[in-house]
Amino acid sequence: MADNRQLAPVSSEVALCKQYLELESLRLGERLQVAWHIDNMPSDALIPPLVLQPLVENAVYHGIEPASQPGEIRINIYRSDGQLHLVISNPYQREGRHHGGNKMALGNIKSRLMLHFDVEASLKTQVRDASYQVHITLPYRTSAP
Amino acid sequence: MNNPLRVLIVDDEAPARNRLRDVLADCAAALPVEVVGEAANGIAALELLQSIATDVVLLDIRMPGMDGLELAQHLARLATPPAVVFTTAYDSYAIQAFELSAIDYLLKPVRAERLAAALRKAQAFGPAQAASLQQAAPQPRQYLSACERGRILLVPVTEVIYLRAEQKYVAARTASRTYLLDESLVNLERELAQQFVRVHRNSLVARDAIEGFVMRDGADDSEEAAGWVVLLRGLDETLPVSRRQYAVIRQFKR
Repeated sequence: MADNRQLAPVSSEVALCKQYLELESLRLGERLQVAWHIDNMPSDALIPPLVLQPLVENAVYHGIEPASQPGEIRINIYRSDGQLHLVISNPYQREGRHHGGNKMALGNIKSRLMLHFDVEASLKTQVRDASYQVHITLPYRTSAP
Repeated sequence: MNNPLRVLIVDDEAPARNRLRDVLADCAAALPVEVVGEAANGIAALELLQSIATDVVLLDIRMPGMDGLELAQHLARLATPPAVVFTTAYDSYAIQAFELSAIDYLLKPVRAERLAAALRKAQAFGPAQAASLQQAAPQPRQYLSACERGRILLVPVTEVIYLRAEQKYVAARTASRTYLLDESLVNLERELAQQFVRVHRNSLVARDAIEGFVMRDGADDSEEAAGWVVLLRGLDETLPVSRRQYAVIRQFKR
């Protein structure tokens, strides 16, 4: 297990998410559609490990599993003005038949972002046009401070 | 009982259905079984069950659309309902509900010996009772079921404008027609309290369908006494509000 306090290259976090999503698509078949928008991702950027994967897992649990129709998870990673943006969105299920969750994953991720970047990082969630979105902004870094 | 047990598999995940098929094959020596079909959701399962003779349904609890507990409640209305064995991944809420209402379930991953035992038990005890299923269900049904000429029709709860007790039945009125339900208004009121409000001893109205209330004088209408009636969205009919439910009117006035 990698040291939690060390940052990890975003490319390896993306690789981890891809493996996880492959497993989920064995289970969910065509119900799970994934769109990666990472052409402009700086693959050398460093992020806290295991921030992306729990958010993608949340997207599957809350956005895909309870829906009878296929749904799409979109993951968008790009750099803008010295900031790295991670945006994960999934179909918003208003009347989820799942347990609502206790926002623990989100809370944990938030505090880990703060730990690494203090006020320079942010995590925002919003619901718009039947889509639930998590948007993380953090400083673009390529080596440990 | 020389005929193989006819089993239908219902699970929204294909790998889970395949696994159950494999495990059923492993059971074959102990208990002859025949898989008569598979369905990926509750509605498809209900369709299949009305055309294929089935002894036991292996039913996943957590499925999108209609979950297993709701499907089982509709199944209980079939003329010859199949027995149901629930399958579930570990979920402390579901398990607690099941223990309380004495419904049998199999924890995934399902093992051959456990499955064979559950099938034998299901065969011996027959279908679960609708009442205990309802008790175990964590949330109200999304559909009501009406039985017409031996077939079960599903009526989405969101389409029902009002429910009215009529002698032995409850009439469920949608914008297009009326369905007869073999249930009691009291139970429906308890289950659907979020969506429906009682306006009269014999009727519940969907909160969303209430357009307003008007005072009607009884003079030009000999059948109904003077008093408040509720106006319904999408219907020309009105329903009387009984005097003791007048508080409801105040609740909806702004």
